[in-house]
Amino acid sequence: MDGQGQMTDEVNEFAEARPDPTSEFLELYSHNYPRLQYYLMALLPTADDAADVLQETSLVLWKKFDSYETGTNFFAWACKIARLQALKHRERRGKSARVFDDALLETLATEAADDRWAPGTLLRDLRQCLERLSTRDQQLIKKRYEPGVSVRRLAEEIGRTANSLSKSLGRIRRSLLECIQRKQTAAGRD
Amino acid sequence: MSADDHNPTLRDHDRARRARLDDLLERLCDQLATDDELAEINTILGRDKSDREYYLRYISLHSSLQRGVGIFDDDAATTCVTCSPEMPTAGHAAWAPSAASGADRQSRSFSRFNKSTIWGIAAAATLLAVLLGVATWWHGPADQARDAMSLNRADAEVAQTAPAIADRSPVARVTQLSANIVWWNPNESIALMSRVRAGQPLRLSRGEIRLTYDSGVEMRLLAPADFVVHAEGGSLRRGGLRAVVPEQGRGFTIETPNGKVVDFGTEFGVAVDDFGVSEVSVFQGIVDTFRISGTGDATQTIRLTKGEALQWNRETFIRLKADPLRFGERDLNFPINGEFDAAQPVLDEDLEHRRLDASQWRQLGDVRDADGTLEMRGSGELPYLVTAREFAPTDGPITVVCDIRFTEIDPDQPPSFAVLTRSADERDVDAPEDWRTMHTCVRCSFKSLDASSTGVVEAATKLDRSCPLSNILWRGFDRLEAGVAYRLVMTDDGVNVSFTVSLRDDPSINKTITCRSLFRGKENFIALEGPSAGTVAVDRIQIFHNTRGSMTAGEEGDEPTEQQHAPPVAQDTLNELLDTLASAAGTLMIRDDFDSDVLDPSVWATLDDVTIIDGRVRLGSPNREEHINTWTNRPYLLTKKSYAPAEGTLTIVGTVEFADNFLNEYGGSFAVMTRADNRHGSGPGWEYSILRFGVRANFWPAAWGQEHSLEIHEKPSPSTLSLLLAEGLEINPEMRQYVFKVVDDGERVTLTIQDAADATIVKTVSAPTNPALRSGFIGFEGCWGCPLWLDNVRIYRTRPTTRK
Repeated sequence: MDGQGQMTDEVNEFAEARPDPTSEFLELYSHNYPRLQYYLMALLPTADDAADVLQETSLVLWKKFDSYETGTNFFAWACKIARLQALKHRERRGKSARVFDDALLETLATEAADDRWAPGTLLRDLRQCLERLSTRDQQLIKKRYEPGVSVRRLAEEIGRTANSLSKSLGRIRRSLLECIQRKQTAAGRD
Repeated sequence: MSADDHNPTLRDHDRARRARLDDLLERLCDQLATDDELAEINTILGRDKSDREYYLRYISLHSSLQRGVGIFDDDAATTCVTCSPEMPTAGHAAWAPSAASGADRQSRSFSRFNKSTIWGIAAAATLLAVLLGVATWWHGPADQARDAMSLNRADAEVAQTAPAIADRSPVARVTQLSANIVWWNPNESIALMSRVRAGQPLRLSRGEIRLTYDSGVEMRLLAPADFVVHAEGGSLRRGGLRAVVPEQGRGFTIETPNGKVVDFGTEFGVAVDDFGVSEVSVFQGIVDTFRISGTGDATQTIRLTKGEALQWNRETFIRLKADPLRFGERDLNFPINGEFDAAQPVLDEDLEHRRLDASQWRQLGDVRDADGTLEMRGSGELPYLVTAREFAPTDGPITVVCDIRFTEIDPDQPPSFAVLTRSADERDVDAPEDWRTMHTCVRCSFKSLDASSTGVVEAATKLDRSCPLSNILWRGFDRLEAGVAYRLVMTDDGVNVSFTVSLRDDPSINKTITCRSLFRGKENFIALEGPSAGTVAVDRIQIFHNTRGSMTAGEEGDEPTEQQHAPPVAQDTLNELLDTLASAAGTLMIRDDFDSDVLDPSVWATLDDVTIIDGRVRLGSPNREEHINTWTNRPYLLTKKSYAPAEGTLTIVGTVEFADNFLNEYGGSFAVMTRADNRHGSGPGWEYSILRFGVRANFWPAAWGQEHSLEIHEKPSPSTLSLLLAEGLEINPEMRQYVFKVVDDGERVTLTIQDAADATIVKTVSAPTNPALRSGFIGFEGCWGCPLWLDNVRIYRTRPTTRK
């Protein structure tokens, strides 16, 4: 359970009267969700920081949705807000949330907004590359990315040290990256 | 091989640096990186653009894997994962409309998204639900979102892949409607004796209806409930039901958001709460529960028999005793609008006129008497006022009324105040900030998300110390103002929790939320939780406890009754019994009457609390609260040697005596594990509390009333546990002494339990076991919280056999 569930208790009639910006926002936000998730993870790669900030960001995006101009680049607009939220988060959390210094964070904030590394560009290939892994590696990487799984806990469960497990996971991730890169090169996408 | 081996532009020293970056990134993504390593990453990325590109690519992969949905699936319909809203996909029944409500029309616009987008939609819809305060309780996208967010992704996946309702022919008839029935939408009401069709939603706010299926199944749907009728069962999204399934109705299936329950001709109840927990209680016969865990691709089957219950969510499951009271044997419906019992409060603190009665409370953190009030101050740590005694909602509904004022609101920390029920009395000080509250509880909070935003009413549960808080938020109250007197009223009947916030001086301004939590309080203190910063003045606290039957509020109701026990059985008699049980059992390998002061280290090893006391081995020790905790590792006496029963059948006999509390609550249990590992598992579920693998012959006297269960489990791997068999044995509840015999020939395990004083109380069960479990140690297992005394252990072995 993620501790983030939220809902309201009002009645159904309101749903019909929901104004257009709502569906527009829903559609744009949903569409860009994976990229925003990646963007924040790139800025705040430790633990659950990115997930927290994504939630805060989504609230701010909605609050400021009036200022979004229909037809313009939603992701670019959202990135600006996400970046500010990430900075605020760092201020609040202090040292514990600071992997990168301010200059690097700014650089990454710009570079991560580039389409080239967005998850959408690699998902199709990733799926095929996952299928090429050995069954054992498939199982391991799948287990690692089950919700709520930590490498330390998983290592305990399978009777290995966290460091050695992380090495194996690193090897699998590298082979996935390699496979994706080959596919993208072959398709002239990179 | 690295991704960069194919990159011709990378020179050797760059390769070395990239290899180092690889090492660091794997540690970063697996949350193992030290501060020094983080600093090193910062340095490398700060220097080189190509390293940053590599980093971004790595994170992109990591985030895609983390999101997971649609990547790990084998479903061909999900291969288009580019998240394009223009890309139509098949196979997304749950997002397609099932009825012409406004919410469904809303959801229709989502049906064209593919699976990988659903998570985003869920997030967006959840967000809107909070922001607008206009989403729907029931079938709207916010509800889907609630499933996805507050339950978990796996649960949402199940909900979304529910079978499309193709056949809409009538399948059942409404044969009873309670007089107090309130339909969630009056236009969906159904007249008595009408036929209902597959796919038809039945949504009740209050009351109950009885459906008679064409297969003869009788089902009562208990409000508040949200149910969709299927031809042979249905889908319970929220609420409770109870079904009686005749022979011809076998296979009757109830789906829940995180699994399903299949019935084999029985009587059983199913409930789904608002926090991602499903429950099944079996009153007769057998049901199989298919629990979906992890990312949704792993299904675990758990068979339950009469008297057993199971609660589960994505992470774990807990075995419990079946509780008919939760399934229609008493009215769990709540008074609406936060009415509370007009009777005398059992506890009344009028703090404007009297000081707090310190004998009734424990204070944690900064709680102090002030002039005509009681102040709870946040100082980084949360302040608590906890009742000195417990108030179990299962004894009758509890109502807590609390008048408060936010006297000092910290500009940086949003104000909050909470009323906790089913609460532990210890704080989780080490927990991450967002989880911080009591170890276990159902928490009703009134707060702001930030200093400028409107008031939020929240309900949350914490199922176990190691679990995160699972919460639901509602907006719809004006901004919290300093100095305004608020009245908070929380009512808990053990399942439903209602929470009303109003202005004390203008009760017409109020908001009530109700939610359903299946969490059975391990402890049942009432607690008030102050803010982490700022000050709340508490002016009045009243607790009402409407206990049922002869139980009256107060200490006397909680006194345990005097235990009656049969006299101990003489040692000679026990020896004769054991001789009989072990006749022709082979060569005696180990015999220990535990008459020395210490265990023989050449024969035995121990895990956890195992000691020799007065010529017997005591496994486990009593709990402080007499609660029998099955979430903690169990104590074991283990053989030092490993045995392969296929090479020589093992016969293990001995005597066991349980402590006084062996029938309380979850009760005590005793098991013999063979072919076992000599280490514990780890994790929160009870299956981890036993050894990592082995075959387990278990005697669980408190399993259900007088039907005391004999079970055979096998655990082929640390996270898999199968119940092979469970049968009841009528015992004499006054008798705590038993003799046992376990025979393991490598293919089959047989367990015999006999009352030490009454040879007519005896039962033998036997089950074939997984031959992959070949050899291991022999372990004698106790149950933490109910100590037991093991004695007269003899282990025999036949050899050699013809089997290999």
